[in-house]
Amino acid sequence: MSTALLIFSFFLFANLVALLFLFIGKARGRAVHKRVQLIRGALSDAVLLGNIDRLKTLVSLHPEEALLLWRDMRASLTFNAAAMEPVQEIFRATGIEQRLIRLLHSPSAFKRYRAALVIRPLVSRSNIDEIIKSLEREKREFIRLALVKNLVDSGEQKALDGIARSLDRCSLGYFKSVRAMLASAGPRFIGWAHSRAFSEDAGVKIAILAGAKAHVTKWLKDYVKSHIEHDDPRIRSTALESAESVYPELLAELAYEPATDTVSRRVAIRCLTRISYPLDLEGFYPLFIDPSVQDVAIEALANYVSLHPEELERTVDGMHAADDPDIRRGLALALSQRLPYLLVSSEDPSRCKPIVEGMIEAGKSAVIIAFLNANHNAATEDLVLKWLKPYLETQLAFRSECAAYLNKELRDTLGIEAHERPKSTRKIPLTKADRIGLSAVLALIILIPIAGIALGLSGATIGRTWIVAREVFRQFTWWFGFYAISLNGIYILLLVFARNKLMAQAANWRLLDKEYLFTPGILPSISILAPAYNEEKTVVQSVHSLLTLEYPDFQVIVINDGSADNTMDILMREFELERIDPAMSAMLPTAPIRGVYRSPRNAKLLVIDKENGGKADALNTGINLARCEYVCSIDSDSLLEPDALLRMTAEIITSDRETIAVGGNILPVNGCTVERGMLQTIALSNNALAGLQTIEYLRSFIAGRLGWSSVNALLIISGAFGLFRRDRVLEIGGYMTGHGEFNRDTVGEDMELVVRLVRRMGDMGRKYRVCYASSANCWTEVPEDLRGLYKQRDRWHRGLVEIMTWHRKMLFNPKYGSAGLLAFPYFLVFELIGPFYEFVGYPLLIIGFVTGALHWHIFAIMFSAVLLFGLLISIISLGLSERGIVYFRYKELASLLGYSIVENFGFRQLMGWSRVFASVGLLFKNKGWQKLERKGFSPVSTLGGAAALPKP
Amino acid sequence: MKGIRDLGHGIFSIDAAEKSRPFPRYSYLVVEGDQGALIDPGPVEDFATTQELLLSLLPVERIAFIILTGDTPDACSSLPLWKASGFAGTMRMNRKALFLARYYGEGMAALSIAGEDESLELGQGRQLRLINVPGIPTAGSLFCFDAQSGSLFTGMLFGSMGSQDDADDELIREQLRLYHELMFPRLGARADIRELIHGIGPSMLLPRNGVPLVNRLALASAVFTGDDCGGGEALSELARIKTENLELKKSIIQANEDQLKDPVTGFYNEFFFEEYLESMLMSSEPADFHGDTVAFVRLDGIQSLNRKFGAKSGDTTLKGLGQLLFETKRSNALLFRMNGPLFAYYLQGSDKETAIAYIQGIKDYIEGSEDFVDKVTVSAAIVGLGELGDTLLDSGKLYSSVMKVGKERLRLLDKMGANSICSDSAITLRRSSGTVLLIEGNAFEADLLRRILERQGYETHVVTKGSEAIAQADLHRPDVVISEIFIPQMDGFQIRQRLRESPDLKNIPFILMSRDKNEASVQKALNLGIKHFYKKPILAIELAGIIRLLIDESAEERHP
Repeated sequence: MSTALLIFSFFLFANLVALLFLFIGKARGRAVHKRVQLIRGALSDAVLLGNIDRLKTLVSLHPEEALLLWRDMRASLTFNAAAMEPVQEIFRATGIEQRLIRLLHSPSAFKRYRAALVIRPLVSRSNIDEIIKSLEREKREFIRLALVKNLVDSGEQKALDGIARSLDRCSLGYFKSVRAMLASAGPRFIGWAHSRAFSEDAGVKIAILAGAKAHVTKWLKDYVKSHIEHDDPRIRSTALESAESVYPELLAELAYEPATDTVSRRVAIRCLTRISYPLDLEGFYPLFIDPSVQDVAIEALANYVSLHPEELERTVDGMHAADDPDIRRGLALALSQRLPYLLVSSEDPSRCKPIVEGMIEAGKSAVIIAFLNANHNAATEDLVLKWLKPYLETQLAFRSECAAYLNKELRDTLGIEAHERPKSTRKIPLTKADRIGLSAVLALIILIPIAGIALGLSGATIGRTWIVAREVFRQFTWWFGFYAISLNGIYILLLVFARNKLMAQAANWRLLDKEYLFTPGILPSISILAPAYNEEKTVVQSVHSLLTLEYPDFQVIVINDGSADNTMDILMREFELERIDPAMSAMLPTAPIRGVYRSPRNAKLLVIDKENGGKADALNTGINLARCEYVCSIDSDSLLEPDALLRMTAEIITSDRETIAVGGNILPVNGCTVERGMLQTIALSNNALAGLQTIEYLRSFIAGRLGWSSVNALLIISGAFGLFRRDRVLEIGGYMTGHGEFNRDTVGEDMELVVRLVRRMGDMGRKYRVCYASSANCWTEVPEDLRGLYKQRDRWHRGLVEIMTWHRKMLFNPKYGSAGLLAFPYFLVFELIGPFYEFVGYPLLIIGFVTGALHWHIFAIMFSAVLLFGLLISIISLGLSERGIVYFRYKELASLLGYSIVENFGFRQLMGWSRVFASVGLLFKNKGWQKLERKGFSPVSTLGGAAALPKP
Repeated sequence: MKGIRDLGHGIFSIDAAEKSRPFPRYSYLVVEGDQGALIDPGPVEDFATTQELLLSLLPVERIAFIILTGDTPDACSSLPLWKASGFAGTMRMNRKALFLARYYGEGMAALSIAGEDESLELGQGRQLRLINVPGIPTAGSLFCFDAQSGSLFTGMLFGSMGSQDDADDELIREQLRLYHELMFPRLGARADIRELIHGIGPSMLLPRNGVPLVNRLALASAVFTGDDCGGGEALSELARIKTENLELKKSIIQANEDQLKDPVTGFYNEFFFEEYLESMLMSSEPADFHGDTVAFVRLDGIQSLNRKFGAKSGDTTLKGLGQLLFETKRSNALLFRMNGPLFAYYLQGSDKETAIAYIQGIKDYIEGSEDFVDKVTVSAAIVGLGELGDTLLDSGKLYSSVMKVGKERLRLLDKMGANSICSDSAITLRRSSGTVLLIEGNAFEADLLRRILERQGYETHVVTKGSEAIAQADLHRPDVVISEIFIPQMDGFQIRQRLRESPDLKNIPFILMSRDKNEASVQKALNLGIKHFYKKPILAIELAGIIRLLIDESAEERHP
């Protein structure tokens, strides 16, 4: 009895302590906020009024905090030296400068990083040598970049020398970042470059060539010219880059020089078509024959034609006159984006025949199919179909494309059967063998405890049912208690990790200022992929809201996934879209693209109009056209906070290890006010189900994802807001879709992608990171009715089981690091099998207690272990979430606490049961891809997104 | 005699319609000594019957007062007939009714009661109190209280469907409910009227369209609570459909209400204020509201409140201020919440001097109030409608004229400093070098820039949320707008776009500043006609200089 009471009161006490810390944390947050206000006031008094007394006291109390605020202030406004010098003097007087320089030598990388970022306002002629020295010594590149930023800002010649030296034998990433940073070098750059013009040092040359991009003078042009053909590839590429952006005419003549290296020639060909008018077509022809530049020549000529439409006729004539098949094909492909125009506008459409043939041969049939589907002219249709026919027999890929995407009437005319649609050939998610294996594993694991109980019972008391039943209850209860405690124990452990990670992330974010983040070369570029399916009501506002995100270098790619409504027209009108012929830099197989558009009003926007193919297919299309280093996938109803991208990428730049994916924080938007696509106020929903999900999300994101990410075992990144390295995603073939190599759909394509990325990195033996940015918030609608919620959970769980089955090789495989050794086993035990125990566990516990089979003190122990332990985790999560993720008012905090108690009586069990039913359903029913037609409920996801629905 | 009932205490009800309708139409006669007061004589069609019934009690010449509780044509149209038939006393009604009555017959010896309650003396000292009841739609707004008998003549309020006066409570409740849902679908829970009636404490309610309610005050008050009176199964099919219709209407009205109410204070908002002024213009002659005054009351320094105590504190303070204004409100004043930290009073029948004194009182009261955490002061701009001049009023743009003058005076208030009243546009002030609107999401940077600009002599208004920018630009008419690109809720480009769409604001020079100055953002700025785009960090002196040049330039354009 006393043990039960002891355990119960222990957990109760722990809960109260956690609650106390929650409120202390909140109060402390307010105190910090007040202090910041105070220091800011003192700083502006000092600068504007010369009143430095108050600042002096504050700086001596909180030197580093004040220095950071001073740095932020200087990043937005600068004053004359007379006003700023006294403040600088105050900071120097505290000795913080020496302290920071000492910290630059610290063994802790974070401390060095911090010192490098904090010291920036104090960098001057006197300590520049120290900075250069630490740059030479420093191995970590993200710290080196922070130091380079300090040096570039100082504008000292010495500093530029230091940077130049650091460019010797550096990595490619560092080289590229520094090159970009040098383009923003101050006015003293020219003087420095002049004095070093004859230096033979590679670093110096690179630095001068990089700076030449921003400073245009006669002698710099000559300098660039003389280095275009330099032997060192890094010098050459820097020269090429500057030349391409500032002096394209320097490169144009290189295009015809077969002796030039391939990279330079490719750049040169682009420059040639940009600057020459009229283009010497005959002279251009040989480029189509050379396989190393063929593709770029086609692309460049296509750009030329779209830039100068009047040259179209001449090019078409040239194509007909050309004898060489390669030249003909090259010209045909360059004209391919203009095909619809040529077919419709000219009196003699038959001259387009070579273009159509060239396109089919090159496997670029999408434009033709899109044209035919939209075309109303019977004569043109007959003509084009006649050209196509011969290829239907020889080109099988083309035939299946036609079968999948041509209108029914056209298919009938060509005699292609509809059942040839590639969709129908897709594999079902789990084969029969998969399902039998999975059932066996599950059955085995579920049977073990039962067998154990049976063994424990054998030989005892046969015939006395009451005692047997009681014994069963006891045994089971112990097993269940053990399960609950170990699950919660893991959570507590994860929470400890999560807390440390959260603090580190918050500290890191405080260190970073926007001035640093907006320096070119620091942050990677991001393509936001926004799939839209039947979103005519909200699409304009969402796009406007995405375009106003705060980030230095990003583009928004809206992918209209064959909407049946006016989504595309509305986009066209609002953004005055104009059709372009984009250069596809990647070739993930997707449904055909009908057209790509850009907005003359907003260079950041790209709109893709394509045939319907589902969300994953839409994302793959976006990945193909994205030009940035990272792609960010979002749901159509995702609402990003303005600085969410910055907070996400702030994680990337704190390590040299390659970050393949970053997950964002998902929060329920229900209850918040949203206006013009922007979040106006944050509030808890009045709907109980939404409230319950709020606490559930907070807990799972903090304890779950943040905790897992701190041991680099994060496998779940929500499709509602996730960032992925584009090159890695391309390596593994993009999202899993019914097209291409996978030939299979999944409901959990976002998790599947992460698992496959991790698997790939493991296979290659590369080091990688999957991060979770705890304060990059994305707000999304969650279901407010049970039915919708149940369906959503069913889908998530189905996705999880499918992925676990496909990638079962990763389980307990040390090759895949913590993902294989920790995350996968955890998923297996607690996500796949655990729900089965819970399914019977809770009812048995109640029955046992009511019938008296369980002694009440065992029940009390169970109650503490299951409920109070769970509550403790909720309270700690809530407390952590107050540290920089989301702030709730006291009233809302109270109702969240209420929800975390209430959820234990029904909600959690229900969510657990939905998993059991999902697993069982998956095992016994052949749920094929058809089940993807998930219509009629809100497209919400943290695991699987349903923004774009496949066509019925 | 049939049609007349003696209700005791010298009060008679006259039923000219004789229960021919779902609900009756009673006129009442109060007799004291040799004088009488006729309450609600009724429409023209009832005149003959009413007169005949009345003559059996009292000659027309001995009626000293005719009192109208309502302002419908119904109530007003028969007045000339009474006049012609020898009525020599005075008619009392509310102002709106008076306009209507004049329409039916010129030169009526009638008086309106405006605002405050007043008392009439009947015979030897019997007091009839006339009580203004504001805001009952369509039904006029006058109660008449006879203290001697404890009877309250409630006009159209408290009427009931059916006219059996021996009905039990249950039935009466149902009849009351049905009647009110039909006649006053938008009445709602009018706690103010209920309080008013309880304050008077009548023992008998005498409605125009229903049975006298004797000692059934609580029962009657239930119509304001929206309580379910029960008895649903007794409803006929017709009544059910009617009820459904009413529900529908109610929900439409509710939706309208939501649009017309300010979420923070619960007051009617600027839209409603506009509608109210425009509807006044429709229903009455300019001369009738010539003596009315509009007073704008503004909370001082809401930005510094927000800065000091966080963004929520501004709203909280406004809510508290609203409460305070409502509590101290006079009965002839209507209170609205305008956009921004601003309230508007419509003061019926008080001229500008009275209004100034009244507002001064409120202002002092707020200054001395202990209800706020921090010291709170308000400033007020006062516009007499008489000032506007007839041309403005005739043009039919009462609202925009009031707002134009009001905003001008609010702008003057900025220069006069906190805690002041401006009632005259001609006040001369220390001239500031120009007005700047600063749109910056980072409160710290905004504050710093504001201090710099103010030191240069520019009057500076700071906006930290994009959604407020346009309203503030419209209010202050700045000479220059400075904006960051990244602002919560609406970005700098969108603000510029909106400003360009407004004919009044499109020519204000626009300075953009941001860290994110690159090819794309510059292109976008150029497309929006932005000539000045600075990359942060900005030299403080450069910004100040550019603003000076821009202001000088535009001044030169105006006075070449």
